Amino acid sequence: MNLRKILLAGVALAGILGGNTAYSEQYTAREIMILNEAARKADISETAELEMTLIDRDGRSRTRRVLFILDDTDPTLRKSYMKFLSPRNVEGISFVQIEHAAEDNDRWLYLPSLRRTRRISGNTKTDSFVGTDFSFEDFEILDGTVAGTNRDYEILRVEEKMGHETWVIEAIPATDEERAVTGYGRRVIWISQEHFHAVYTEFYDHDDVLFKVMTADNFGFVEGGDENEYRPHRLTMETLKTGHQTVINFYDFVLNNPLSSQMFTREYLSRG
Amino acid sequence: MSFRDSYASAITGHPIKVIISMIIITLIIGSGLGDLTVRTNQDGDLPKSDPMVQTKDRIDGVFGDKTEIMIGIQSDTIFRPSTLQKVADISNDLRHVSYVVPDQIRSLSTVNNVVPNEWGLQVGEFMKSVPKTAEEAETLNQAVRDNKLVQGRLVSESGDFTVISAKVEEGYDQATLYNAIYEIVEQYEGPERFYVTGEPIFTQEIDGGIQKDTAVLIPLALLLIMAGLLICFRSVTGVLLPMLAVVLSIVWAMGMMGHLSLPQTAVSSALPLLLVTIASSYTIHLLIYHNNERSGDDRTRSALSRIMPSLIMVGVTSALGAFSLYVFEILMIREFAIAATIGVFSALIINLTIIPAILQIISRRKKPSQDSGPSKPTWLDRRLIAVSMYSFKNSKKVVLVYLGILVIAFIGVSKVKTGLDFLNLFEADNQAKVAFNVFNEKIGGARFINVMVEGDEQGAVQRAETLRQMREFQNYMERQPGVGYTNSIADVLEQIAESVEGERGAEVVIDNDKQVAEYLMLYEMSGSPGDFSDLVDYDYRRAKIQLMLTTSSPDDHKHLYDLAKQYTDEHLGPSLRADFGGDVILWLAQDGYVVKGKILNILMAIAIIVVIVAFSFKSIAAGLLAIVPVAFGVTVTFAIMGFFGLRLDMPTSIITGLAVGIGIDFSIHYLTRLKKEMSATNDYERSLAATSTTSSKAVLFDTFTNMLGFSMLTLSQFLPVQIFGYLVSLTMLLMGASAIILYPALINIVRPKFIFTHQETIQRSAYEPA
Repeated sequence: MNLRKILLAGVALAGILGGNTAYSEQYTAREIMILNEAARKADISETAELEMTLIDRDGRSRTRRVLFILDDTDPTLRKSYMKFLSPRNVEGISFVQIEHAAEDNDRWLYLPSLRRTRRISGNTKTDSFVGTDFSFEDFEILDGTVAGTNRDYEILRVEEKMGHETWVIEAIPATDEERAVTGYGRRVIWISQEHFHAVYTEFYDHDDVLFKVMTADNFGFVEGGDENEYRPHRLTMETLKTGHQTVINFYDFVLNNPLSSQMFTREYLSRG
Repeated sequence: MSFRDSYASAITGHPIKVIISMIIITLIIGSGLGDLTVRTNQDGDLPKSDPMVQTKDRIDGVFGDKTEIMIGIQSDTIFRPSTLQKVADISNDLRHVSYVVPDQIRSLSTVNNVVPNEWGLQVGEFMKSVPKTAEEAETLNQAVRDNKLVQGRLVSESGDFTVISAKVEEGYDQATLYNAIYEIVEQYEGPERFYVTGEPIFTQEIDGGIQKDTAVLIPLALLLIMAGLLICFRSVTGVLLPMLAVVLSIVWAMGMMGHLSLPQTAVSSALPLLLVTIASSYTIHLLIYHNNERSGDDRTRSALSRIMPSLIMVGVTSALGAFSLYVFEILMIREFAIAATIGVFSALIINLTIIPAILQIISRRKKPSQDSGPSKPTWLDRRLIAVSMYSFKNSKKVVLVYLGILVIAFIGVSKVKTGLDFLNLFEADNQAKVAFNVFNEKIGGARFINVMVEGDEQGAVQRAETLRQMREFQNYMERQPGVGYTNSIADVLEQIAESVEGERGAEVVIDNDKQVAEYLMLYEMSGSPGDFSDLVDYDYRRAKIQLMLTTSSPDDHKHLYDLAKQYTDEHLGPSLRADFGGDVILWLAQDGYVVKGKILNILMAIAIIVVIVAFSFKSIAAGLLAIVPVAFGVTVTFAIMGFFGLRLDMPTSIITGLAVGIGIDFSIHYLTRLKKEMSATNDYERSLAATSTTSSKAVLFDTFTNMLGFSMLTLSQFLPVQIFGYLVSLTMLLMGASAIILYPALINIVRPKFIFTHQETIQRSAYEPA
């Protein structure tokens, strides 16, 4: 059993023993975030077809579909693979990112018309993810057993949000190193008491100005995980100043598909 | 008793009541001064229907109506940790300045670099962190040299200059922005030299400079005018009453501006000047009439009664002349037209009420003084009579000389240039001028024309063919003198392509659409999505090409615009079209309106004068005669501008408004007096003499005092103010001299019926050829 299952068992146990109101008081903010991490991660992999719709202030939109595969086998550092399916002019472009703990992440991009694979620098987490309102940072696990040590957490209050009973948790970078690399001076996260997923997140910049808001909804069961493996199937990130937003819809969301060991290499990219 | 007699009796019979009620009215109107606002941006000043404005609006609709401010830093080398730190700090400080768009600041610490290296492609900020050592700084220097999007554009070729530019939101307040930018720059100044430029900086430098200078020089001008009045009238009353009229008129006009929510602008700062001349002129005429009346209780009443018709006529024509500025399709000038009309009417009302009331009280007190009755002809009177007589006796000669001058003047008028060349406005050591030249020399310019290339469908800009056409257009424009460099998405793509191909310096050809999409994706994967928003629109349907200009001459700007327009009309296609924008285009469009407005304005003003004067005198000849000094003055002034290469721009345009206002006074007073004398004596020579000592004298005093006052402006350190001073003085002199010298001759030759009414005169004209 991995950490996630132990924790979920703990949650279940607490629920049985203490009843609904009692267990919320049992968790510290940090524990809730560890449970959040557990709820987000799979054991082996996550596979989905993502439809990314970018919508500008005037309602004009661009849609791209990508095949997205995440390698969750390493509990702290993830590997991701992405292949563009549409529109036509970007079809076949594929991308691999390998997170590193100490150095810059590796990012490789394969350009089919040039038949070339290029490494691109992954020097900042704050860079936009493929032109969306999400940054690379948003796809990393920022909280939890490992990453959480760089942050301080506090439960601000308990409230109902978007139909969920939630804990409202504030996350603040705890170290100067972390402050230097993150784009967020502060996050306020609404965590569902039911399934520990964040349903709503506010992102504040280093001047403590709210600049992005993310909502997660369309929760549903996914294949390949435990019985009650619950995931959001839609993420919406809005950049407040520009009014630009990105909606990511998840289709064919499957957990723990076996991974080819080749998948996250430069060579695999060009073979598609 | 006629209306004017009963009116004059009413005013002079109850002077205290008049004074008190006028004080109350002044307080009420003056309360509007508190509501006066200042507007210092150019927004919305041009009509929306203008094709140039429309094309600019189309670009603004896509890329935003944002202008730029630029801060240049110069040092022997900017690649030094301390200097680079300043670049980073200033870039950061700028984010907090009001009106600056925080994520559209370009500097070494914000722009992305795309470079190939042994393992692939690196996209990232040039200065992820500020270099701490000389070696790190040198590495940065090398990176800059390898990037053609930055080398020579963001950093000078020799590495001794770099620029931090920031986009500014629409509707910015130019004065606030200007001060905020300088506040930042002053903090970091030295040992590096800092230069600030950009459209908001230029215009604020001009407007602020004019305002600052006039604030000092107008009071000085008023003092000189007072001295002039003292010389003319040799009495305290002669000084104080015109000044009182001026001050009250200004309070009324500016107060009404406040009540009507008309903001103060660069143009309306000329209003006090206009009122100084007009209001004081009305009082001068009144005083001269007053001095020529026999002394006694009745003196003011009869002077007022006599001058009233011409004062009203003068006031109405001047007001309409001022209002004729409304034909300008530039908002600032239109607002000025309204304010100036109110101002002229204020001056008229004040000179018909409180001024005669005060005059009545003063002259009543002075009753037993030596100042009794119309004085004997003075030295000045005799000279004025002599001039009139000379002109009368040499009528043909005088008129021919005037015609000769006019012919030469027309040559000059044809040479008048329009538009505003910023550089010519400033003295050699002016900050904005120096900065502009440094930017031109170091990084290929500080001003620009934007060209928007638009396709017929989404993704048009992602086509290799579109990019090829854009590149060719850019190459064509870069060959033109006055263009520093050009920039568009095509440049960025080439840079990326070069990096991907990995062969530095090799000619990269982007020849298929998929390749374009992939390069863009490559960049998007690493940059932030805002990176291109200034170069392409969301749908990739439109792209912006920025043509950086190293010339400040509006003639060059027009030429480049014409070339670009011609090129895009002929070569762009089949589904592509081009629009033009940027502040330079706005100025070009404005020039068109200044010229068009000017011509319309002159024609309107002339028409108004002819009609009103013709109606009042019941004679078309009177109308035509009245405009002669005005037309002459304006024509010769324009001619001088043409010969000296002075441009017709907004400030100089206002001179016509002033000129018409003042010049028509001269004509009307002169013609009215002459007509009256003729109907009394029926003797042209005697009438001329009498007119000389009254109207001519008033015209002379008026011209003299105002010229004295405006001569102060020529001391300004600021060229537009200097030129304004010279031109207004010149126009006044020309019009004053025309009334005094030309009229005796011209009227003698023309022999209009409204003056030569009597039988005897007609007979006389029968044997004196016309």
